[in-house]
Formats: sequence, C-alpha cells, structure tokens
Amino acid sequence: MAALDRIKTIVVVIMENRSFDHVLGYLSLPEYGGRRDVEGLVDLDTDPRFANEYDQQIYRPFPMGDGRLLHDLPHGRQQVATQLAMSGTTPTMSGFVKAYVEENHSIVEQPPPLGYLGPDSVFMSDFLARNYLVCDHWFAPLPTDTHPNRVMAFTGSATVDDTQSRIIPHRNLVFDWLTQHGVRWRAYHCGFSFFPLFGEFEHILGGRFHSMRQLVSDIATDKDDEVPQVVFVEPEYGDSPVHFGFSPNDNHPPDPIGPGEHFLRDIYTALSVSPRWAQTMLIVIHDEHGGFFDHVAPLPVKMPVPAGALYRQPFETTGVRVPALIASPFVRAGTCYRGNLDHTSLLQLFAEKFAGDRRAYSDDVNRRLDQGIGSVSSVLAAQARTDVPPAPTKAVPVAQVLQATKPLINENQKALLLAGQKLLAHDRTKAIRQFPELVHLQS
Amino acid sequence: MKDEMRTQLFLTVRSIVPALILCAGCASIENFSANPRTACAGDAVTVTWAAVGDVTIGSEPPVADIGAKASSGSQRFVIDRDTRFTLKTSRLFSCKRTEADVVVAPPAREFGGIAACSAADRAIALTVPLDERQVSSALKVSSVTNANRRAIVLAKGGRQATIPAGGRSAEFDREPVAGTWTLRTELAPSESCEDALRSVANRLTFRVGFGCGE
Repeated sequence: MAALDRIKTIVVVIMENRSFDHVLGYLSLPEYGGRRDVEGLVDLDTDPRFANEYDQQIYRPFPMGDGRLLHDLPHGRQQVATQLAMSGTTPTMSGFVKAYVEENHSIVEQPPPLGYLGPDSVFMSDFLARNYLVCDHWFAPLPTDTHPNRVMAFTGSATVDDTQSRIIPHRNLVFDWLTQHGVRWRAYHCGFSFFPLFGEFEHILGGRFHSMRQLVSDIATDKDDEVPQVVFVEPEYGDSPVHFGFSPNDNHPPDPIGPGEHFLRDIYTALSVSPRWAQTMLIVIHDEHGGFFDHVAPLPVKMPVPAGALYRQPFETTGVRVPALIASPFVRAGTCYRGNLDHTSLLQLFAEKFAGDRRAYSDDVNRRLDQGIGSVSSVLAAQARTDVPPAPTKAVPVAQVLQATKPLINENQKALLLAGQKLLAHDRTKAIRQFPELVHLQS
Repeated sequence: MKDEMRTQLFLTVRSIVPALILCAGCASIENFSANPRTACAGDAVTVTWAAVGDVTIGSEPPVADIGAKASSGSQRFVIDRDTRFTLKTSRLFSCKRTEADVVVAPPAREFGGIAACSAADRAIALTVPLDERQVSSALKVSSVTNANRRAIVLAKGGRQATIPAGGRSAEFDREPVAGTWTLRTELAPSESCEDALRSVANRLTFRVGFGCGE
C-alpha cells in the first residue's frame, strides 16, 4: 500500500509571517551543522545573494535573538515588489531593507528584516527539522500579504490581492470540497478563527470547529469512524480583536516567535503520543514571509486575475519562500525536500488522497501544477518509520507578549473584528459558544 | 427584519466611529533620518524629522539639546561615538517610535547595489555616489576591497585600480570616502549579459576601510 494510502489524518498548521531564511536558514551555517542539503544561509559576508542595498550601503543577514520587534515589517503587494527588487525579469531579493526604511522610517545598523534566528529561538522547528523533513522550496503562493495567501491555501485562487476589512469573496472553499467528497474534517482554534472571514458561518458553527483545548481529549476519545481525516489547527492570531485565555502564538511580528514554538510543541506532543501517529502527517507552514529576507527568488508561476477579483494586475510570480516542516512516520529523519511547493500543494494532496487524482481539486490549482508546483505527497517515503522522537522538554524562555488592549490599527485586525461582528449577527448564541471571547465584542 | 437592519446599522456605526476617532487621534511618523550614517568623532550629525503628534527626539548615548521638539524640523547634534537617535511621537490614542543609527568610524563598510549590463560596452557597471547622507566628509579611505567574485575596475576622481576578486588596493588610501565611485567588470569573450549578471547575483559591491583625520 502506498504511503499516502496509509495516512489516515492530515494535520495542517499555518503560522504567520516568517521567511525560510529567517527561521530555518541557520541549518546551513557551519556553526549549526552546515547542512548542505538545505538551501539556507551560507557565506554571509561574501555571497552576493545576501547583500541588501539601501541608499548605496550594503546590509547583510545577522543573527538575532527572539523578542518583540519595534515594528511589524512591510509585506503588502507594493512593499514585496520593493523587496524583490526586480532587475528586468529577475528578482534580486535585495530590497528588504529599503522596504523597511520606506515603511517605518527607521534605518539601523542591523535592520530587523535581515535578522535570522538560531535553534535556541526556534527550538521546536529545529526539532522537527532534525527529526523529520524540511521543505526548502515551499513558497507563499503570492507576493503579497496575509489574506490573499491564506485564501490561496484554502481555495486555490485569490479574489483579493491585499488585506482589507471585508468578508472575502471566494470559490472552491476547501471545507466545501472536503464535505462534497465525504471527507471528515475538523478545525481547532485557540481564540478567534480566520475562517469567519469567508462568511460561511454554518461551517464554523456546525460542530466541526473545536477549541484547541479539546485537541488532546478528542484524540483520546474519538472512535475510529470519528477521527477527522483533515485537521486544521489555528494559532491565536496577534491581530485578533479580542484575546481571552490565549496569548498570541501565531509568529506574526512584532510579537516574538517563542509562543508559536510552544504551540507547535503542544500540537506535536498531542499527536505523537497517540497510537494514531503511525497514520498521521503533520504539515507546518507559514502563510507568507512577513517582510523578512529570503535569498531565493520566487518562482515564475503566473496567476491570471480570476473572475470576480477585486484587483486588476495579475500575479507573475509566487511569493517568498516560507518555512515548511513535515512530521510523519512516512518521512525520513533529518531530510530535506527540494521540489517546488506552495500552499495549493495542500489542495493537490487532498485531491490525490480523497479523489484519487491530484488534478481533481480545481482548474486554478491545476494551473499551478502545470507550472511546476507539486503535491505534498511528493515528500513521502515508501517505508514507515517506527521511532517516535519525543518532543523537547527543556523549558525555553519566551519573551513576554501580553499587552494591554490596543486600538485597532491594521486592516487584518479590522477584518477580524468585522468577521466577529457578522458571526454574532448571524447566530449570537452559537457564536459565543464557539468563541466565548466574542462576548467582549458586545460589551 | 427591521430589528436585523437596526442591529446591522448599529454594528456598522460602532465599528466606524471609533476608527474615525482613532484616525483623528493617532500619532504618525512621516520622516526620520540621521545623516551621515557613518561619521567621525566630533562630527555634527543632521537629524531631520516630520511627524504628527508631540515629538521628542532622544539619543543613546544622550547628546546635548535632545528633548521635545516641533512636529517637524531639522537639527544638528555633535556626536563622539556610535549613537542611536530616536523619534517618539504621541497623541491622544497612540504613540509611535522609530530609530536611526549613526556609527563612528567603523572598521569598514560595504557599498554598492544592483548593477546594469551593457551588451554594447561588454561590461557590467555601477555608479555609487556617496555624499553627506552616507559618509562624513572627514572620513578617509584606509583600504578598498573588491567584494565581488570577479575582477573589477574601481574608479573615483582621477584614480583607478583594477582589483582581482576578493583583492585589495591601496590606490585610494587617504582619499576622502565621499564622492562618486564607479565599478566596472568586463564580460568574458563569449559571456552574455545574463550570465555575467547571474555570476554576481546582479550586484556589484566594494568594501571601504575607514580612517578619520590624517
């Protein structure tokens, strides 16, 4: 039986706003083992690919500790264009400092977009990389910010090219596709969810959305015919308009990455101690690079403007590389997969697994497949491992992220507030049962 | 239905009004810089700012005459070591902060940028103008290094040096760092512009070692 057939549960975690070089680039540095199979950071002082220019001066990547940043980093469509710094048709990846200075009017000796983390800061990602599999050519689908990239992950196309306060128009939502194909799916959320932004509230209030606190008990008590075949686990979004019981752990700057690493440890621990781990595949990715530097140019994957889109300029490339890690008995320890993937690779995987054909999701997804974007199934090994590496138990200090309620500043915060309000208006009782913290939006 | 519409209207108004109030009460930063970014001890650094809100200019370490300022302006501050200037602006509902560093006589800096290739000239070239934004007029060259993986011809003023990949030249020693530098690397006989640019990742750069005074 092929590995994909033996996998019974696919767990997807999409974190926020970090680039590959920023989180996992250190794997290639000599002081951290110098992995040659991973396309990370090398020869930082001399390799021209790592030179970023601002106002004639060259800045290069530097080691940074985890902590709260002074600013969020720019990552909207225009700012990403600045970061890619096209020379003709070639993205030079040399404009990350320039975009940061233009946005934040801050020019310091070590510009935060060029900071890279070490294994002490990303202890859980490091654990997964060393014990499971890294995908070092997983790209955000689009060179822009959160909403379009998450919409690509969950629909295969994007009718928006920016993050604004609105319910997102869409087609081919993954929940509809899974339901139509008789797939048991479930979503776990820490606090408020991203999915209400699609406006399809019956999915959210229909019993398939569970609190993250139920993950362990569900795993322990689900009967075989209840075990979800696809699981989405959502972090506590820093941009959520209200927090109750969870602190942000989504990795979105300016918040630190430490809480997100603990979140990943909780998920891995819950899954890996279960006997069902033998049939599980955990996929951890980031929605987009969040303004952090990466040296690998996006892929020339074109996406025409879809019908009903709220923008006119088609996309000519993918976005920037993001950290992607896969843990499963069906991946070999300490390996790297070099094939080109993006978030629609998840949809190809679902189509392959549940419809028997990786082209069975949508024409939008197939258009990317035809341009070289593969399925996540490509990473699987034929033979299953029997070892289950235990999650790190060492306490890792985490920078303080609790903060006073702040005024809504950015469009994602406003969008999540709008979605919460609409969800309450749709069915207040069910909405508050699902997301108790929404009570605070009513006060 | 009326109740539903009333609720929707209430929610809409409630989400818009605070935003309008916040917009009117938010601090923002339009511009902030401290130049030159590389200086000598005793240099006067020009700090320029424009912001909305109550502005405070700070520095670490503290320098004379920092503190509350008009919402926009420009002022010179004398520094004698590496200094981080800060701009804080606060208003009714928010405060913003940003930073600018000035470094005093670092051992070296790398300059350069994205180069262009001319098939007609059979060369990749780049012009790097360095003025009071980047470097103090008091800074002198102590050495230059070709930071590229191919030989370059580096020129400034009437001086010129051909420097092998990774090599150094003393041709510009004791000359001011400020001025217009040009970098040029010839294409090999059968080399295309595309291949040549790929070999340097589209960039040309050089490192300048610094000294202050004589």
